[in-house]
Amino acid sequence: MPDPASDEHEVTALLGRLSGGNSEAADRLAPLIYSELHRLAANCMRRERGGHTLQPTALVHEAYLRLVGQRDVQWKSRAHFYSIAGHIMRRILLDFARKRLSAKRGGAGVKVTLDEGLVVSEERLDDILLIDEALHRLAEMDERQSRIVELRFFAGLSVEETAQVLEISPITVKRDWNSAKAWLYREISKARPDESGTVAAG
Amino acid sequence: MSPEQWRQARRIFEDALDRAPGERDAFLREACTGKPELLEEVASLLASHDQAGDIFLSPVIEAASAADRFEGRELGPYRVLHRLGHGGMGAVYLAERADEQFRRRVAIKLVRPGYDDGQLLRRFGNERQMLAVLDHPNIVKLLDAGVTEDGIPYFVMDYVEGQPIDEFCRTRGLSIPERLALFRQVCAAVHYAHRNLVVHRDLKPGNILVTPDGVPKLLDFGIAKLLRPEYGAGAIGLTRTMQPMTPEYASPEQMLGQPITTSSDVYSLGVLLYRLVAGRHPYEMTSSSAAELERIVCETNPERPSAAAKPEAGQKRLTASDVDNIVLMAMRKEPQRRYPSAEHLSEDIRRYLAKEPVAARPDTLLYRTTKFVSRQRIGVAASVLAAIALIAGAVEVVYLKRVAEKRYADLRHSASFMLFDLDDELRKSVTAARKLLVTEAVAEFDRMAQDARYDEGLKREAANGYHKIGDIQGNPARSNLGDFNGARESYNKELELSKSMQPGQKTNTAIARAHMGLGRLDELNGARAEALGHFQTALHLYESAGESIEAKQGFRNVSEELGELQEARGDVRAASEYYAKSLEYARELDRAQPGAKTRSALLAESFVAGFAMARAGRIEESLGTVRDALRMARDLAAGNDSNRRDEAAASGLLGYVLYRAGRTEEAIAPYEDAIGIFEKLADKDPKDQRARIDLGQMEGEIAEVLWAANRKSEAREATGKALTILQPVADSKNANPYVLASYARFLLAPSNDRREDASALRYVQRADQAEKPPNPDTQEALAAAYAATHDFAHARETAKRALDSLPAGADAVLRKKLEGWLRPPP
Repeated sequence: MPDPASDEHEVTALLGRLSGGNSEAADRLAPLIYSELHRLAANCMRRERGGHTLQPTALVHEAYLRLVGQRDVQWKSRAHFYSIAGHIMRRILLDFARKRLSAKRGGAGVKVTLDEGLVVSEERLDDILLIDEALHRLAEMDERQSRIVELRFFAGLSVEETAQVLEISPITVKRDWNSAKAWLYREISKARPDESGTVAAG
Repeated sequence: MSPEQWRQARRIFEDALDRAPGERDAFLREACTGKPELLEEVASLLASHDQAGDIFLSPVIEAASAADRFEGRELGPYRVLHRLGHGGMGAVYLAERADEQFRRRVAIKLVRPGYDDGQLLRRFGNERQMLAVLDHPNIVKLLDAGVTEDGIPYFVMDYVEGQPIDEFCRTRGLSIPERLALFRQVCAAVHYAHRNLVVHRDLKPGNILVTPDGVPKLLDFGIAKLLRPEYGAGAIGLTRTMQPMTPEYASPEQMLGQPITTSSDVYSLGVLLYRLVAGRHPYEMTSSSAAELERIVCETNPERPSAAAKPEAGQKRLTASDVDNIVLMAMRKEPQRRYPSAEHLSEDIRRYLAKEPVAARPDTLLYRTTKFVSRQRIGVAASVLAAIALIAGAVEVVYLKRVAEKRYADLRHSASFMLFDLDDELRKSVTAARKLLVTEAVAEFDRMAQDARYDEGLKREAANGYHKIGDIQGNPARSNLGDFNGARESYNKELELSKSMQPGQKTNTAIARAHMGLGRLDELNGARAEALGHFQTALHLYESAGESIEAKQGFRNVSEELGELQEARGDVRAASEYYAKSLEYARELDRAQPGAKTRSALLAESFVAGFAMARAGRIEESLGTVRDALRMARDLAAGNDSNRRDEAAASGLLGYVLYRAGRTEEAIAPYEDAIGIFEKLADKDPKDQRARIDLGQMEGEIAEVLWAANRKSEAREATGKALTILQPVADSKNANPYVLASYARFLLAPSNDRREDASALRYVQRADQAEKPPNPDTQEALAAAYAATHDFAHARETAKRALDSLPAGADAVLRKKLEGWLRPPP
């Protein structure tokens, strides 16, 4: 298991360069964040045993804390970190959903384990493919809305966190989010075989 | 869609979302004037928004995390130990109170971060408020509530160590009676909550834990709300609020997003009971399609639990019994046909356990005798809860309306007073609370009527409000609070307000409705002339109120009221004319919307009309109507054995009409058919009291026919059977006057060998005393009983009194009989 501390300086440095306008730094950051997310996930799972699930945002937050720590980093660096993490989470999940789709499916309603640590329910996995596809189309109409969905849905950021990352007001995030969500829901419902959507069971 | 088009659509959508649901339609129409495509686009987005709910696009990953941010933390005086589990709303932790000598263990529920849409926070707020007022040994107590440093709301409850109720029953191997007893404790807790205006909305085994010593505890009022109907329908009728719920236990109205009342909990209790006695769920719900689940819950009928039962190991199989009827009555699709409260459900189970007759019956259609029974419909305050639910509903309509009009910001105070601050009063006494509710509501509508002087819309709302309150106070046609004076006052206010509205068809309908309310009260008080006046005014108004559904329905209702009123006075000619009108309407409706409901209404109407027509001497019409009814009843019975009751009633009525027509020989066969069916029904279910009464009635009637046909020994036998069957009914304390009079008549019949004339007089006197004003048919039986006991003076006096008040359109046969008692004895 790699020691997160060894990546710390590099990540902090890269984030600093990114904030300074060096866009190459993002390409170098991505694999570091990716591996940290995976490592964290696996680690959490081992300690947790039973496979209970909680804390949707914990993973990305924790990756950030471990890679960057509490050292004095500009808030802009933090925004970059989350922004990249959002992309990465989307990619990890999409890959997984595709793999899962080709593999034999389990019973309805089961939770499948992804890389030992990330837990996502099977029905939602099907949705991920549809959402990803619709998200590309949303990006063509409004790039920012697509980014907001990525951060909130894939990375699990709150409205306030999303607002910080994108440097816009929380109210704007909410408005963008509401219409994006309604639009996506409609698009997904159209694309689903039973067209009525899954029931919001409490 | 181009980015430009999208920008336009989303801006209107987002602006619409900022408005109250009631205002959205109008806003949309205005913003999209002349752009139907844009309107459709935005409406469809709003619909999707409502359907998407909290779950859609909630963070996709639920990462298992050991670095739980709450474990070990202190929240107020509590130290969080470890997580117990999580649900739709958030996580539950075990915690202990650290600053006390003894360590009290509690459960702390935290709203999950990330779900920060205002909706969830609001719901959480409700939960806190509601749990705080509930104090019951079977409801988990709220101890404390607060917000963490990072702004996450939490609340602290008693920690319950227990198993979900279904699991508890299984692992303990409880017998059916033990399960029923346990279930009754759950009913008591739910009823207590209902009395405090709290509906659970998500009753299911996971929310009912049973402690190791067998005490059930109700958990998680997370989605419960105060009795407050949902207003899901928004933009262009497309939207529907997706309520958080568990589809397996959700009632049809919940699935459809309709207003939820205490009755929805009664339904969920029914499903739970089904599960506990049958060991399985009433429906197979494997689909994840909302439309399919909705169809299953709203349109399919569950198997009887005894037929569906999957006994657990060592468990005796449930046998077909009243338990089936109890479960299925609680689970009826229409809320108003379920048990009126959880307490009624519990009480019926108690009766079952005590081997007493239960109230639940298999689902059947109306039939002739329900008509007679309904004569006794003097308002019993059967369900205070249903009434309170109605008040809450009425006020809510007003509330939304007024908020929409912004001018009436002050109502917020009184509406929330209505719904929230009453809890203390309610806990002290239900009677005081309901009176307070009604008084408050009336005061509210009075204020509104004042404000409404120049506003037609508000006038209409206030008039509607008065009518609803009047119905709750004392509409004798349904369960009410027994406050008939209050009801009269409310209906009078409704009348006055309606009369001040601009003339037109809608106004006519409103005025007519107020007259209906007043007429029913007069009828109840025995003030027939006044009742007649109100009903006739209503009839004329409805006639000139156009073709609206409300007007037509009103016309039908008033025709029926007038028919009943005239029939009660003995004017069968007028009654048959009114019934013919309501029959016509029922036929029309049956043609326009064919289905079981319209068909059974038509059937009921045919019975009433056919009977009155025969008595009015309109024999051919009556025969046509009754034969049609028999055909319909047979068709219905072919599909479902439980509908045979109607077939029997129709058959018996045909016998009656033929006998009246002088076709004595022909009358015997239909009576025999009726008797055959009623016998089977009574045999199948010995507790089916109604079938026994009908059987007795038919035996008594056929006896008269057989006697007339000179088949005397058969007539004697039939009379004997009738008397044996009806005696226990007539001897019961709350016997129906109709049954009493019938029983007396059969005692006096020439085919009764025993000739118990003195006791006949006692029974018929009991019937007569129960009828105010007197019923001419009973009076005739009374005269006959006097004559039989050789009290000719009383016989003459009774007959004379009856004849004096007998209307011109009375039954000619009855008139002749009464005149017979005037003549001196032979």
